[in-house]
Amino acid sequence: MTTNLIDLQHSDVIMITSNMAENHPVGFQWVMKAKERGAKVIHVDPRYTRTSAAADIHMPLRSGTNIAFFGGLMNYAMQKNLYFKEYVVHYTNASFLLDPAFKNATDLNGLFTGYDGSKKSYDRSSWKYQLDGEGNPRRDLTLRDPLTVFQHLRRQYSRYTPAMVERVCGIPKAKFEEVAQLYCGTSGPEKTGTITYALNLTQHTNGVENIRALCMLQLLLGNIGRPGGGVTALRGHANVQGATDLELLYHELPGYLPMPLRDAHPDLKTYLEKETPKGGFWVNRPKFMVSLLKAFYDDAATKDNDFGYQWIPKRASADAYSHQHMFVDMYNGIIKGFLADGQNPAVGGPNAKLARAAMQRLDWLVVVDIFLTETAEVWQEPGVNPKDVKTEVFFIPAAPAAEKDGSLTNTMRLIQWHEKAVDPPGDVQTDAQFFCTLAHRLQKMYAGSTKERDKGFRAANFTYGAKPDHPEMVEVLKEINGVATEDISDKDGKVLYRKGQPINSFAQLTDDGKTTSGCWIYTGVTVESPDGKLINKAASRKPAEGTDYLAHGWGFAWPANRRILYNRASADLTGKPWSEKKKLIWWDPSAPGAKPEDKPGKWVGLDVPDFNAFLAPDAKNGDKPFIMRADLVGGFFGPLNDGPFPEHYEPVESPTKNLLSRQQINPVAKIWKVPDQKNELAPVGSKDYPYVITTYRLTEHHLSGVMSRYLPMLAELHHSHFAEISHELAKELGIQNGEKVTVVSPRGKVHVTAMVTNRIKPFTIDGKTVHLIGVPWHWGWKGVEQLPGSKGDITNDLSSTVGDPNVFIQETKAFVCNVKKGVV
Amino acid sequence: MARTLAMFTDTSLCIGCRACQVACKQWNELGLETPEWTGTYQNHAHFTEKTFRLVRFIEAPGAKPNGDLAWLLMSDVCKHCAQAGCLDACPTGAIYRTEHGTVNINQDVCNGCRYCVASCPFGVVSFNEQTGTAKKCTFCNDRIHNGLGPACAKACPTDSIQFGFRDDLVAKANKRVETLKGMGFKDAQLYGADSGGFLGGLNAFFLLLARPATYNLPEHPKLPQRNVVVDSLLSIGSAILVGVGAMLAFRARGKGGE
Amino acid sequence: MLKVPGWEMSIVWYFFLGGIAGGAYFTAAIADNFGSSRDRAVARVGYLLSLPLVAVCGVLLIVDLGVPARFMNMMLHFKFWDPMSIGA
Repeated sequence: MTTNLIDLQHSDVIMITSNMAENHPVGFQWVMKAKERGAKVIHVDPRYTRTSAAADIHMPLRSGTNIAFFGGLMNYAMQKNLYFKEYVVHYTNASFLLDPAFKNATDLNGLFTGYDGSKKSYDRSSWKYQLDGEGNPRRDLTLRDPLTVFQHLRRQYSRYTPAMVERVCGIPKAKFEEVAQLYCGTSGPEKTGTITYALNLTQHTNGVENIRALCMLQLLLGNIGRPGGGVTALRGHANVQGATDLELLYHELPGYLPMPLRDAHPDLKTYLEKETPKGGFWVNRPKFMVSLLKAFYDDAATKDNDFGYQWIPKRASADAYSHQHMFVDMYNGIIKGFLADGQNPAVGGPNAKLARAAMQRLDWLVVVDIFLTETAEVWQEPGVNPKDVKTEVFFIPAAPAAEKDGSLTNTMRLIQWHEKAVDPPGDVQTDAQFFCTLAHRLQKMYAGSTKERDKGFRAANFTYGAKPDHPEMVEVLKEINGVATEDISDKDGKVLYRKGQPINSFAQLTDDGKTTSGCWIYTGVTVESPDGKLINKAASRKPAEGTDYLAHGWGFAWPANRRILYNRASADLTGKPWSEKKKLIWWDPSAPGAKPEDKPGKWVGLDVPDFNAFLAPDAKNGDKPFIMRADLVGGFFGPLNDGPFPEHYEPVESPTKNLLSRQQINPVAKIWKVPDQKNELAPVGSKDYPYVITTYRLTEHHLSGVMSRYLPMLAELHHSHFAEISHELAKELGIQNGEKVTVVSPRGKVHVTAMVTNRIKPFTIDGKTVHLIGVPWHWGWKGVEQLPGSKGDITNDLSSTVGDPNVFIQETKAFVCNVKKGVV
Repeated sequence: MARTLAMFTDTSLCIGCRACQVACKQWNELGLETPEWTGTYQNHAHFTEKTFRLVRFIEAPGAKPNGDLAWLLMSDVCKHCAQAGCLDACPTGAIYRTEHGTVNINQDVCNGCRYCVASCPFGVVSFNEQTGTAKKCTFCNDRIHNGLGPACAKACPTDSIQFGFRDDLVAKANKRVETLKGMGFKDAQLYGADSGGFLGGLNAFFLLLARPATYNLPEHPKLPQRNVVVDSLLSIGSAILVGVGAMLAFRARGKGGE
Repeated sequence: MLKVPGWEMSIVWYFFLGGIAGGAYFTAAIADNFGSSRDRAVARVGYLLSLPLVAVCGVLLIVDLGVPARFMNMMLHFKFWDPMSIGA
């Protein structure tokens, strides 16, 4: 999230689009605190959940119509002049003029300029600004020129009227207008609002555009970078932010550096040229990339060998290697071996039946986990004859969090150190021990290799501390932070760092091999005291005090302990806060400069400036808060694979045709063809699968159930695997509360207990009744023996293998199903 | 006598997460228990010998200030009544009141007669077949005697369950009701805060967002034993009548026989 | 809201046999004090019935307890307003 959970208390209106009370109960205390201060809470969710119970207004919307909703809000804000004009003019690209060849989706009935139907992709050459003689974007600060981004935005969302929102989302017009008036009322200097989201926006074939739409709305209302504002992205796991930062992902390297492509980036120079923008803080990408390579390969990485660039794997294609790609390749026999560390794809991944069938075709499977999961015993899938499964399966018992030291990075980018309570039993290893041991054994195996490509791996260091297979986690954190590889002095000869000392700030990383950094955004988390002791800032625990309500002394937030990103935007062009009530940082012209001889002036306030602290508001770029973007301003126009503006498309499986354009689904969505009918999809408005289904999580269980269904105290909290069904649908189907029912999709079926409830209501979509059911996905065939309800069918057997075109995330929040009475 | 301790459960802050339920089970080592289907997220219909804190889920159409459906979430618990039916009923003296005002069942003295089970107006006390004794919330008796608060209060992420001295909590609760009324929750009310009210007041009292009946709580709870007085008098009266009748009958027989 | 205490067959028999024991003794006492010589048989039968039955009732009550060995605890504690205490 761009902001900080503690800061939510300062919102005037909080729009929760996720299920925050159930899935982020501890963070939710800050929503409660906001309510104490008079904030209004709106919950936008197809289901009435425990979040709705705490909200002032619950507004159900049909799963898969988020862009129609956000577009509707943007249209409303622009129509009613409820947007923060000064902020929009100066801090965003609203005033930039676009290439006249570019046409938006209103002009082109659902598409943008440059669509190639045969390739299913866009030629984006017209998606650009007009430039002046110096190569800067041309602007119209009055926002009136029809070619401004702003006017394009207006036209793009002109179709998204309240009447249209009613037809598409199923939100009655009056209710939508009530909520729109309330939320768009947070525009302007005196008020701010924040919007939360989680998988409700991400798990769609237009997942990334969903999030873009939210961000654009917040820019329009002038909420980004201000107290009580921002984009509250709620990560779904205690350390998933850490996993993302350190890039346990296929498409990036640690610190959000692009993973090189074999053909486009044959060498380091080409990679850096192509991937380093001309403006914004990412101009420093070479420093981060070289420092990362040095962290990987230490002394073996030198200027002469491109710092070992040739040793890191390159992607053969941008359209490959994601989770879904991997399982399709596995099913097709391309992937022969698989290591699943703390992951249970037999239950947790989309199209779980395909995932299990794929794993049953592997030559070998290694599962590292705390219990014998469904994946660990994939050959025992109910209905499968174990004799048919030739996979050799290895199970490595792992240590859970209580038995491991290390850091956890939570949803507000806060790195907190975590100490183990006990040692793992017997010869159970922590993940770090496992990987270091594995690496050391592999290095031994490859010790005699003369191949160039093995040099890097052989040179890499996997020893942290005195014992090679027992890494000291603070040393790992220090490597992530980064150190000097040799003595570094400034231009006057003063020694800044001695060899081996941790670097204090990513601003001091270099591209000449003198620094390392395993993840540049973490630089500063470990520093050295004047007497040579390593200080682990992630372990600091100074609570909030006085004006430091953001608690800068508790843990370390990346980057550089900034708690609220883009906080320059909390002040106006002169450096004064937009309002006294919403002050965060401001320019103090009398504060001493960086060095004694510098002109005075500094950004000061309640947070570390997410900005050059000494750049005056009236200096060049002193008025540009969005430092990570090349043009330094917030992006209404921001090219993604599926369009520079979010456009509503129906989910791949939908009960209705698209009412906003003739383009039914995302024109560049990824839809995999899988043999043996393992990825059948229902046609639009299918009578065999007439109901919308959404899948979700509960407070009491965790993900695929490995950390909850084996523990009696948690497993007993829900009687059994259930589906939430409206009274109306239950009546139609003759189903009673507590009966067993069968939920069917084109991929599979599950047997669950029907929970008939007032909290689910049918939608009216374009005048027709559309039923929606909800099914949590925590259950699998393993659990507690004495609690039959801890075991159940796998909800993800129902979902399909389709993906967002930017990151290939699955569409598990909105697809279709049928419901049959009884166990069918 | 120490100042009375209390738990104030403010249901307006409850998010139904069940941290209290689990913390209680974990601290008291209550062990494996099979849940029931209640038709909602609630996993037991009522308190059991292994569930001392029970979160109740009640769908109440129209109960929100704007007329929408409310989902009332309430972490229910033993009320530690100032006039406790269980304590009154217990024939062994196993149920006693601590110096803090909380009510506890001494597991070494209880002989499992189950009279307390029938005597609680809220149905809190339950019988444990394995130990043969009656069980209920102990107000974390071990924790409060070691400077800690109850496990449920500690675990609650929204401070819906607050622990402290009763008079402090009652003052806070009264203010909270006014705040909620100002926010449009016209049925916001305290349940058991008034020590001049039913049962002498509850040491685990609540803030409700609707009338007690909506939560299945008795509006005017009283000790079930109060019924015993009337019924006993009737029984004794009947016995006297029968006795007098028998006396007369035998006397008449005697006289008649001579 | 109220809970059932789970008093089953042993308690049913206790009330039944206890009623007989009490009634028998009561009748015997009245017959003894207010009756004639003809009623001596009634009195004798009444007295003879009641004592063993009371003993049986005692056993039934003890058996019904969750921890029968602790029945003495009830004897060490008297609450005059409490039927169970009086009964014990």
